[in-house]
Order: sequence, then structure tokens, then C-alpha cells
Amino acid sequence: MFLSAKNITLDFPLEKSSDEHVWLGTESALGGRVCTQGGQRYIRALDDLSLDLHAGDRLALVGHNGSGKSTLLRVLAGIYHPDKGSVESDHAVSGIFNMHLGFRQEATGYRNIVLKGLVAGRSRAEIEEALPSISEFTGLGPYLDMPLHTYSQGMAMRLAFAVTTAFSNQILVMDEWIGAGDAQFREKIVERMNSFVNAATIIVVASHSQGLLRRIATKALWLEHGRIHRYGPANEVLDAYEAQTSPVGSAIRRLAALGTRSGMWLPTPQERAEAGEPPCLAWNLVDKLDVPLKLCVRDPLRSSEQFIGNVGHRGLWPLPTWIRPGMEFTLHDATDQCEVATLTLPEAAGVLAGP
Amino acid sequence: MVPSIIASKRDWHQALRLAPLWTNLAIEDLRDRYRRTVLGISWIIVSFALFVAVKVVVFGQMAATPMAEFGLFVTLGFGLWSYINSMVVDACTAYMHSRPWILGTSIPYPVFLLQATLRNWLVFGLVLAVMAAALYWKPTPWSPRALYAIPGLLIYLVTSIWLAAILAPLCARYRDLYHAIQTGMRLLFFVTPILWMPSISGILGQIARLNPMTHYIDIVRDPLLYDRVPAGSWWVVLAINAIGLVASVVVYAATRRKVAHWV
Repeated sequence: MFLSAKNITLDFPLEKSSDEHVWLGTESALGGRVCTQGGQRYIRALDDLSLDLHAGDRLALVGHNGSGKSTLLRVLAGIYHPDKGSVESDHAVSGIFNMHLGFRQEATGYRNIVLKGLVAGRSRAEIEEALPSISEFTGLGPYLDMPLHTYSQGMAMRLAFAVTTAFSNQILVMDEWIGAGDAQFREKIVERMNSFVNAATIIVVASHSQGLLRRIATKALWLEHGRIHRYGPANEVLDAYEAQTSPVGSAIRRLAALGTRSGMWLPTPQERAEAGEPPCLAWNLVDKLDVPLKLCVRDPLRSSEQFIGNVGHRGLWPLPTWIRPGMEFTLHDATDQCEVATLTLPEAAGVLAGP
Repeated sequence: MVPSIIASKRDWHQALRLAPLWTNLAIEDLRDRYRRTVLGISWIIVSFALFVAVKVVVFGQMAATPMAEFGLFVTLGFGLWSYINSMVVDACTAYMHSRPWILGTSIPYPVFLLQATLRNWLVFGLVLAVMAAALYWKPTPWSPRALYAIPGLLIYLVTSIWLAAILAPLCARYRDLYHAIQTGMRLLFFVTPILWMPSISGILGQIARLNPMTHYIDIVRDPLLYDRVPAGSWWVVLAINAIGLVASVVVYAATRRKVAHWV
């Protein structure tokens, strides 16, 4: 089993616009390169990209918005035809780009399952065979006899996910498939994903959820301007990507220099001297991987609390000048508001001194 | 070009094997349109019958022909026209309306063309039933020549498919084309002998002869109403189909790689 792309290049032609000068010649960090050939301008979405996947490979695609992730997935799924190069595979490729595609609001749950099966190229008999397991997984019971518009969003999501996964092929390319959904169902999806991931033997998935990608991917491809920026083992590439792109990206790299401590702490001037950091707060909550956290500062004197921002499970926050001894830093779990770490800035500590 | 044509052939072959898919999609399209109505798809019959009745009553006053003949002339002509018109307009939007499908799955494009064609035939089937019922009032005696209407209807099917293969990609690429065709069809209705007989004036007869729609209508209406097989009209229609088939192969093959960028 294989899925390979050889030197694929894909251009999106640009319509002639009257206000070209506005952006002509400006190089954007996002999107593909704008090129001109024979008077026709186009965006080079994928640029001479090759990859080779075999049974058991699970490839994570990462990159900025517009770096070509979705375009690459669509080329692999046979939706876009590359201008140069070719895509080959020995099995049918299933693309999952929009789980709700083809759902009819007015038709019943059962009817929708049948339609989605037909879309996936299954025969009526194969669909009938899959029906019991799908209805069991959705847990929708009698609702399957009712029209889809009577479903809540979450229920529709359950149906979409169950049907999509039941009718997928052995080679699977997916775009941001995890989507929304409540925390409970999300866990159920991940559970289902494991069997799903095991059933399909080659998977290519693009997502902005690093934690999720780490849990399923074996390889990772970092795209930039439609080109391979880095390609290799998942952890290596994802670490590098995370370090560069996280909101406190440079700080995280320096955090690595601070060691592998866990919890929440104030790096000493000596520790900071190595990393060249101004006074800062550091945290590394290894058990809170992929949990959205909120950083707040509490001032006991004025009994007020200030929300600083949404943060990842590890990070550095350079202390602003208004921070005073006695103030308390807290990290909350953004989903259930539980405090996961707190730290009070001690009196007369050297932490506020510069390196 | 040759590899494109081979790939096109594969597309059509796959699409034909996916017949249960486009059949069900076409049925769902129709169901969606009439869902939660009391009359359901009988609305097609009701609205067509009422429309024709009013047209016959109003325009019959101005026509010199006997009421039974004129009524049947309008019923058959308008029934055929309503299919042609909605098929042409749907052919234009076959890809545009399937945008999420084209960007979300690798289903071969002919599926969307066949879906649009079948959807129109399902409606046409009901209209044909009304037309058949109207033949009860046929003033002239029946003869086996009326059966020539059947190959005429087959030509409608063939034309629909190649026309969709040409118009769907071109309208997705050039959005003005869709509006131009929609407007053109509205104008064409008045220069096609449906509400008027071509015999009433020399100039109108001239216009009717130059209008390909006249010939399409005649190959079905003439055998049913006048026991006559219009040889001239058949030649025109067959020539259009020969050119259209070749053109559709070229357009489909030339556009299949670009459709996903255009929709």
C-alpha cells in the first residue's frame, strides 16, 4: 500500500483586478507566492512537493494559514489536479473535508446514512450491513427516524462522524476533522479515532491541534509557502513548529534552556541570565497537555483579578512593570474554571531585578 | 488532449457505475423542494395544468384555430418547452450548485450532470403524464406515426447530457454566461411557436424556421398532433446533436482539471 506525490506544483490563477498595485510586490508571511508568467498572474499554492507514504504511516500536516495544507490534502484526495507532477496510490483515497457534506436537513437520520454511503461509493447491501453499528455508535436511537433538522448540533455531529468514519477507505486524508463538539463527545471521537486510525492504513491529517496530532501522527510535514519546510518524525517536526509559532515562541525556546522543571515558578536571575530573559513567570504543566489554560493575576490589596490571556501548557510570561510583590499568579483550566496552579510573588525577592 | 479524453472516459464510466448515487440525489432534490407540502410533487401537475389552461383560454381568443387543436398545440408545446427551459438553466448551474461536493469529494463530475438531467426528467415525467392525458381531446384520428415522438424524446435526453457537459463548466468559468442564457431562453420562448401557430404570418414562420427550438418541439409535437414526421426538423436536430456531442467531448476533456478552481 502506498500514497505518493511526485514533484507536484499547483497554481491558482488570479483574476485581473483593478487595484493590483495595492499588494503587488509585497511579500506576505501567509499564503503561497504570487508569480507572473506570460502576463498571467497566479498563486503558487504548492511548489515542487514530493512525499512518499506507506502502510502504517500517519502524516500530520502543519503550517501557517494558507501555507498549502488543505490544497495538498485536496490534491492527494484527487479533488485538485496538479499542474505538474503526479499523485499515485494503489487504493482508493477517502477525503474528509466537511463531515456535514451531503446531509439533507429534511431527510431522516437513516436516509442520510444511506445517502452518505452512496456518496462513498458503497452498494446498498454494504450500507444495510453497516447500519446497525452506525446507529449504535451514534446513540441516537429513535431520532434516526426523524428529520435531521430536529437534531441539535451535537447530535448532527455524532451522526456525521459515525457515518463518515464507517464509510472511509484505507487511505484517508482529513482536514481539521475534529471540529467543535462538547468535551464528552470529543473524547468519544478520540476513542473512535483510535480504531478508525487502526482501520485505515495510511492517514494524512491537517490540524491546528498540536496535542491531537502528537497522539496519532508518526510523521509530520511542515509546509511554508507551499514548500516543504521540514519533514520527519512527528515529535521532532511538531516541536520545532510549536517552538517557532507559539505566541511566546522565542520564549519557549528559551524556556527549554531553563530546564525540564514542572509546575509554576519564577526563574532566578541566574537561570534567566543564561536565557537572557527579563523578569518572568514560567510554567510547565505536563499533565495539562492540550488543555486550554487561562493566566490571571490577582491583587489581594485591591481584591481584583486581571485576565492576562489564554496560554498553553508551558510558557513564559515577561512580567510587566505594574507587577508588585504580593500579587498572585493563577492558571485556570478554561473549560471548567478549576485552578491548576498558583504562585504568589514573594516580598523582597530578587525576581524583579533585571539579569 | 488524448490523455484528457481517456481520463474523461474513465470519469463517465465511473459515474455510470454510481447510478444509485445520482438517482438518489436527484430524488432527494425533488423531495426537498416539495417537503412539508400537502400536495407534494403533484404540485408539478397542478401548476402545469393550471398554467396551460389559462394560456389556452387567453391566447385561444386570439387564435384562428379551433379550440381543441389550439389547446393541444399549447399543452404539448409548453410541456416540451418547460422541460427544455429548466434543463438548460439547470445545466448551467450543475457544477456551481455542487460546489461543496466538487471541493469536498473526488466524485467524478458527470455524476452532477446526470443528477441534474435525471431531476429534470422526473419533473418532465409528470408533465408528460398531463400531456398524455390532454391527448384525449385530440381532434384528429390516431395512427402509428405518433410513435415517432418516442425517438424525439430520446433526442431530448441525449441533448440534455451533452449540453450539461458543455454549459456546466463554461458557466462556472464565465458567470455572465449563465445570466445571458437565462435571459436568452426567456426571449427565445416568444420566438418559438408555442403560443402562436407559425402559419399565421410569413415573418413569424420565417423566424420559427431559423429557431432551433422550433425543430426540437416539432419532432415530438408534430407526430402526436398532426400524424406527421417533420423530416427537415429531424435533420436539423440530428446535426445539432452531432456537433454538440463532439463539442461536449472537447469541452469536458479541456475543463475537467480546472473545474475545482472555477466553482
